Amino acid sequence: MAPCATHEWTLTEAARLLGEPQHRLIYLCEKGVVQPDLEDAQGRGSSRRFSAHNLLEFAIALRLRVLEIPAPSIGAITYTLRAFAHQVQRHLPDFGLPYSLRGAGAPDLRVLIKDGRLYLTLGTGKDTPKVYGGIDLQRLRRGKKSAGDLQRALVIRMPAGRKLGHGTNDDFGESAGARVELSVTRIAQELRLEV
Amino acid sequence: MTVAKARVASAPLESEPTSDSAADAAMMALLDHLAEELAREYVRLMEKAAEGIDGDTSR
Repeated sequence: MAPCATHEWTLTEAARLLGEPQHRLIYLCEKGVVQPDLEDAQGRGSSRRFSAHNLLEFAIALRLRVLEIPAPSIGAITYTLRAFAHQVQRHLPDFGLPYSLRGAGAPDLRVLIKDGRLYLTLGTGKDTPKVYGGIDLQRLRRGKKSAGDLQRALVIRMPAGRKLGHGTNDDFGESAGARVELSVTRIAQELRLEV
Repeated sequence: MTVAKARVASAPLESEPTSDSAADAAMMALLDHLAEELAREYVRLMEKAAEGIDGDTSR
């Protein structure tokens, strides 16, 4: 049965759907990468309840953790995706993650980390995807424990001449630096949300 | 890489932060700006797709 947009999952249910041990999800919560939408843990024994958006955040974060991306950097990504969703909802009130990326013909939203910089790309498959960002993730401090600490850790010191920008994927062709890329759209579409 | 030349960020994002709170605000502004740009493109793509659907049904 498909869940409605307001459905919530317990930690146990989320771990089962994602096929991950609970402690990995708890780690991401404690690092501030995923903040339970519906009820945060207020202490030992209290329960977290997660939205479908949270499940998407977990799925993205778990994949990036496998690629050894530090938690603060992943937190910056989940923060940006949440801000993106809020911005889109101002124009398209029915928009919501992950559901709006699960339909046929949904744009391909991708996270790209190259040379320590965060980019997001968006395209339809018909045109060359546009690239946004260029945020220096290496400036993020590590080892923060709470969401508040994580947000306080988001330090930006843009080198001279570096600007936030956008372009096309072709612009990445010549650099040989480390590159991590994942499709948020694909993760959203593969996310198991059965109730 | 030419990506960084394409667009100029808001001025505060280029200044050296003087405190953690200033740094926080600068980074949050940067991420918010990225999200806003992305959202604008998403809405544009959706509107373009809707126009295509409307065009098909009007034939």
